[in-house]
Amino acid sequence: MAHEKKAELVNSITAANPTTFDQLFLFILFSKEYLMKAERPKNFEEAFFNIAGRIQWVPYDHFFQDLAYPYPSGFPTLKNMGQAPLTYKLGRFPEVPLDSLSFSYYHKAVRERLLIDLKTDASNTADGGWQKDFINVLLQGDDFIHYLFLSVLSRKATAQELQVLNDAIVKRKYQTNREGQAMIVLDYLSRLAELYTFVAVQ
Amino acid sequence: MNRRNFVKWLGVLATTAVLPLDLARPATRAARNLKAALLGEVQYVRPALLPKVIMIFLYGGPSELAGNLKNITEINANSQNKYPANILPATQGNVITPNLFWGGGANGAGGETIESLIASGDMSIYRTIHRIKDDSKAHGPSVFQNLTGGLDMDGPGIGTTLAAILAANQPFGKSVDELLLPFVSFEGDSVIFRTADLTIPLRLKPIALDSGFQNPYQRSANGFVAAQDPVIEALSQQVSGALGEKGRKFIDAFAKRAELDNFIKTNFNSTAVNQNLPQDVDANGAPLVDTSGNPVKIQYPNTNFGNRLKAAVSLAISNPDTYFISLGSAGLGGWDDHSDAISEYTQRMKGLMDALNVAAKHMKLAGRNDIIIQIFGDFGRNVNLNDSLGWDHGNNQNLYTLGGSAIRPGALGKIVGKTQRVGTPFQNRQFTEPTSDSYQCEPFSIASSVYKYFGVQNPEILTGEPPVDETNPPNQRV
Repeated sequence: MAHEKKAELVNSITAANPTTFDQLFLFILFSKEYLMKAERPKNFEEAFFNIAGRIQWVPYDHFFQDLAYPYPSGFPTLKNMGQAPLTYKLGRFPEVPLDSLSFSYYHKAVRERLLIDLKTDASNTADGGWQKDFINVLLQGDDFIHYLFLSVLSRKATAQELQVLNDAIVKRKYQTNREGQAMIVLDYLSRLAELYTFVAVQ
Repeated sequence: MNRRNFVKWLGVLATTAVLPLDLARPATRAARNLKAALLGEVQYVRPALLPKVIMIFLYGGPSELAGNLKNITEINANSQNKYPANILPATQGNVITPNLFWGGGANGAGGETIESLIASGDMSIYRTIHRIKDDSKAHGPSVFQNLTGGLDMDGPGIGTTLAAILAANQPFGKSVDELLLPFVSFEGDSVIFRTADLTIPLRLKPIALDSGFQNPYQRSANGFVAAQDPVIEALSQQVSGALGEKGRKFIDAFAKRAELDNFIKTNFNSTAVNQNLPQDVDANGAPLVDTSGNPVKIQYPNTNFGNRLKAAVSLAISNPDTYFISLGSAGLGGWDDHSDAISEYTQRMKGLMDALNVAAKHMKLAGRNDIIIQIFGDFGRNVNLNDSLGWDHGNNQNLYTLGGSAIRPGALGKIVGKTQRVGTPFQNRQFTEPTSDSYQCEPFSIASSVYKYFGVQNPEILTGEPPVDETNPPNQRV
């Protein structure tokens, strides 16, 4: 962002005279600049928890401990994603690392710990994932696919996406298997670049 | 690259990585900045053949005795507790090998294997890696300093320094971004890859693999659609591609993920590695077959360490882009033998040598003379057998170095260094040190050697020590 633009934003926030951090963050988070004009990679929290809230995802007991685990691990930890906070409470690097290993873990977290992680045992707190209520909706066929797209990407599926995904569903005989349909669509969505980046609204 | 450009390049790379560390430890900032500046002074000439180096660090500090029983009679005579009679030269039928290694077959410390590896020109042993400078026999400083290759134990690790040098000089014959697994760790996080204030290109950062061939790039099974379903994959690539430059980094990252996933699945899974092991040969070089006439492949010891070494050597052989592998010695156990040392130490040494023996054969049968394996540890140990029947920390240790004859002609098949016992009889602090006419070097020389193999002409400016002299010291082998 250009220096002048940044100064302009700071001035406009200052002009609103915020007196608490809440107000300050509200101005930023609900600003046109942040919501519509940002064009940069999303960090893990921006991608993961936004979607998590929309697809009725719940963490398993130790999810956040595992996520923040600071030592070598096969789990997609923030450290493995290259997005762990710096020591001494100095925040984190401003850039989202997109080297192959860091991004592989980022993708793994979004795909395997969020989008294709179905909570199968409602009463078991050691089992996390999106809850079945998320797909218990009175929608079928293309409408159901649009619903999944809107929940995750905030857009509808294109005609081509509908065709390919419906073909995949039919090929696997999942026409009446809502869980199977959701898994195919959500897995597909986890592979889209737009899931991991803010694109400015034209 | 000249110094000015190098320093500028480092500055671009360093970005904010330096901030928290510098705030945390201002006392060491000057030393690390000095190291970064010294990197700009590195004189680099690309070698005709780039080596591949596998570092095996024996955490805990191994005793030298498996590779050096030269002073054992005097050691035993002055020790608070007696050594087993079968390693004393005066004992008939003792297990000492001709070049004074600790043999004994299945119950020995691998001496026969050391002997044969040296005789075949696959290995050399340096018996006088002697820590004098800023003498430390504590684990922390010794591990950190030996793995950073110098006294600045807060500095970057050997692997990171090497990566920075190579990134600056681009000897790969292709772009750094095209390299596949150039730096690999089989021991997870290690000081040898600590970055300190050197920020290196992401592609040169270590990738952690394990002997179980865990693949961090793999998509786990969904159960409903294949991880690499071609139709779904093609559509996602097409839709992502429509983002154009806005999605370019992600498209590249997805593509690289798939490439690495595919490489590891194809070339670096357990089945592929075992299939690619070469056919074993007998003592005369004749290929071995089983009773059905099928080729008998070489076989690493089926131990944790054996499997790790198999994975490391296989990767070095199969992947032209892999240059530096850190293995550690996990699977063998720790080497901090303060008590009840002999039975455990001998088994550990034997396990190490058995695996190295197969690795040497593996490299030879694969026709590879560009892979160097370096084995050393924190420090040596005292030679007095203390009242817990163990050895406390000492200064003098061995370097076992295998392979890489094309990188260092004439360096293998040697026994270098002569030792003498030092210390008051029947007191604990008895140790060996180099004789006055012996070659000796600091452990940091091992880091210098690694840099030298890769083309650094003046590695002493990075470590404070010249490389291990592999040319001039006399070979003590009989």
